[in-house]
Amino acid sequence: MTKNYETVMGLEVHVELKTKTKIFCSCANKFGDKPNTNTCPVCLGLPGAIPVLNEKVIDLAVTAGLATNCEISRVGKQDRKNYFYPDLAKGYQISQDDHPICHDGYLDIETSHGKKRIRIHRMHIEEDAGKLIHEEGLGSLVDNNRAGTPLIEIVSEPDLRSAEEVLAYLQKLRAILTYTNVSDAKMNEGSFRCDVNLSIREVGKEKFGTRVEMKNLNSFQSIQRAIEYETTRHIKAVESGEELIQETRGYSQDTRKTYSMRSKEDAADYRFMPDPDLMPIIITDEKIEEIRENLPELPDARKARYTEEYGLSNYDAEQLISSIEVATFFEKTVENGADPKAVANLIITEIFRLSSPEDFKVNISPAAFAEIIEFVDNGRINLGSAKKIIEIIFEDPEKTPESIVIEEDLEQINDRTVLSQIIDEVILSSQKAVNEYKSGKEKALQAVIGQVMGKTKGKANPQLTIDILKEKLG
Amino acid sequence: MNIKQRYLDYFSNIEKENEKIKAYKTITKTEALEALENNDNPFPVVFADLISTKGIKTTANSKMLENYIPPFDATVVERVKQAGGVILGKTITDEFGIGETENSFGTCAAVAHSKNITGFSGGHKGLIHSGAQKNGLFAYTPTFGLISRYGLISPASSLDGIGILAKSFANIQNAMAIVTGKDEKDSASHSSDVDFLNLEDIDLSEQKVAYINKFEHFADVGEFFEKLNIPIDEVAIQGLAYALPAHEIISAGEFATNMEKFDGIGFGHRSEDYSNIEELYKNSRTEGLGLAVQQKIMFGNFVLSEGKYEEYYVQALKARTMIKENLEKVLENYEFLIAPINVQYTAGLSLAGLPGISIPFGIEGLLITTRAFNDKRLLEFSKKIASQLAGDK
Repeated sequence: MTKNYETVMGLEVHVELKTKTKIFCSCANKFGDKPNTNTCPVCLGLPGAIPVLNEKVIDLAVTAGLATNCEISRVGKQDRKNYFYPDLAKGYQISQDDHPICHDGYLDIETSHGKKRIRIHRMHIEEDAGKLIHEEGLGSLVDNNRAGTPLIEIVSEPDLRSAEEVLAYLQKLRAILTYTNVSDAKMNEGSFRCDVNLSIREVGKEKFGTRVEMKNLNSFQSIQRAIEYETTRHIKAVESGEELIQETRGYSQDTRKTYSMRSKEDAADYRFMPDPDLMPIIITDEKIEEIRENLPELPDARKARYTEEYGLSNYDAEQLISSIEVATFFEKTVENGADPKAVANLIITEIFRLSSPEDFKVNISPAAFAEIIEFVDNGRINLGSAKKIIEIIFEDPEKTPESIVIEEDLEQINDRTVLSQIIDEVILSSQKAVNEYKSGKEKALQAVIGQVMGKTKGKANPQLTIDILKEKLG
Repeated sequence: MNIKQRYLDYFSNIEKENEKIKAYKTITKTEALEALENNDNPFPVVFADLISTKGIKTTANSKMLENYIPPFDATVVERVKQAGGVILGKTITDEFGIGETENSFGTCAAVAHSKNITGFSGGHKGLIHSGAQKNGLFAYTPTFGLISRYGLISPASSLDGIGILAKSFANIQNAMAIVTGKDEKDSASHSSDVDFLNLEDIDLSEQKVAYINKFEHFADVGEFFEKLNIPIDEVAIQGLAYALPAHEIISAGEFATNMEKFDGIGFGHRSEDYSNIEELYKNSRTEGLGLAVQQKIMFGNFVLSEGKYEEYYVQALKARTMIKENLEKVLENYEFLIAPINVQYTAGLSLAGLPGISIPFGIEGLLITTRAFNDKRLLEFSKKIASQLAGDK
């Protein structure tokens, strides 16, 4: 008999900080520029050039720490993590080994199983490496624009048990980091990257199973699939008595499988040592208080407001607060007089289909969006037409809801007499479905409604259609 | 004599004798003559080849960097040039400050050879003081942080500052006035509003002075100083015996990681013999670095490796703190401390980040130190001692 297993996961999330300049020099911290244009002796690691810490990095790390309920260290140091890699100009990465800036925090997530608290083990600052570009015919090239980009690494405790929880945690973390303006946190631009540490164990057992670390997970979808794949692989191995090894694994989007990158035996000894070029980091109580006082309204506070003021469900509210852009769009639409529940519903079902919350780009103004909802509310159009209008405006933002209703002839048919006539025709032409419904097959009614919608080009008032049909078919 | 002619004379002497004195790695005649144009206050300087000079080869006396031309000036170089300094050349050092060389004291040789030059050199283990003693020069290593490290190819960044070499106190004072002070490019650098140009004439008999009686060739130190009318007490510094091993371990660790950047990828020597990236690293480093440098890297990586770090590196850091505290304790009661010029003491000063000046005297010379950032008083005191000694002869 198959035993009951649980997946145990902890995450390491690397976040690029939104500073004007790099962590140790005055080069611009910018994504997408021509290769090697934002570089200087310091980030190129030229002999004799030495780093000086950008104070803004500390401010942002403390901000992120406070927003995730962390303890803030008063004294920190920076350490060199030594390894050879062509994208690492100095041959070491400046990171923090044993005195991270923030530690022992948590954040609360909401899944279909309710609320859960995920503990944060530590959060430290470090520099990013450059980027390798493999060019056919030219070999491997190094772009050092990214070298010296400030990062924080956020390490969770192994509190996560499912892909759903992992995604909820990442969404919440993203939300917090964007609300506080610590980072753009864009997974597709690499400013928000996640490694997953995963093992399985029998439910009820305390001892962790053999752990693997998964890297190269560059979308929420990859993360979910990698977790599912790896969980299945581990269970199979344990069931068949096969030995799992502690290793680092990558995930391939093409094969949708994970693959071994290196085992623990191959792991480098990083020879951490305090960086003698840099001075200790001192964080005063005053500074921490100043940052705390300037924190904006955080996602959880906003969520509480949405459930209390607008009567939204916890789950819906959580979806809306997942990014500051979504939340702002929601609130602006409500400010334009639209019903909050209707707004929430249409954002979650429709807008999220057209633009993911992670990279939220809406081509529609809150005012226009509110107008569409008003049209639905007062019966001028039905929900299906509302969706159509949204899609058209996404394509062509010049158009207004009003003009589209007229151009596309979307006015809802609310006239009982007109609808009755059409329904009579449909009943005659759809005898098979009608008979099925009459003999007790509730579902068959949907086919009939579909026919009515087809005949009216989707303009029939759905509720009225159902009412009339039920009357006629008894 | 016109100024240009004076510099041409410098160069003809240097070119004639460099093979014998082994002072210069690169002679920068063209650049120097250019620097004389529109220069109201030219003065001759040399920089050790560990100090980055924009547009001038900076090789660290290593094959690894034999063709490296920095695109930037070290802060000291920038400041010296701004004040009118004319660079005569780059001087020979140990490879990367610690390895094999044709002359460990190239900067000292250059300063000793020509008239009125000021030299700037990295001072690993404080060996600059031994070099100065051998060449009859003053060497000054200020409090750690008083001179920016930016642009110095440090063997060990927390230990090695830039030191000044000269035949006269005036040149040391002048150099200190120019190069000290806060540099935004080095977070260890301190602001300084001390006027090093105007030293007070002090009364030696009123100073609080101690000495470490480890002079081998100088039997009656105490008596000698009393004769100079300097009351002096003998003291011992606890733990100083650990100075060299601690220095060896810490500097090896720092050196090993400072040297990681020389991997044949971005700059420096790249081997032509490789078929994969591991070989590229290995062969570039094996070909580009001398044996002593390689050995120090190996030792450094050993003391930083897992398991050994606690056993060696952390212990060495503890010894460093202890030596610093013990030196500071003695310097609470005495303002000045005199010792023979000896690597144990110069390494001790490096570990503690304390200033030191060496005065050529007898076989062992005099090394004088004081509290951190008490540099001006140290110069006043040692200038007076030097003049007394000169008069005593």
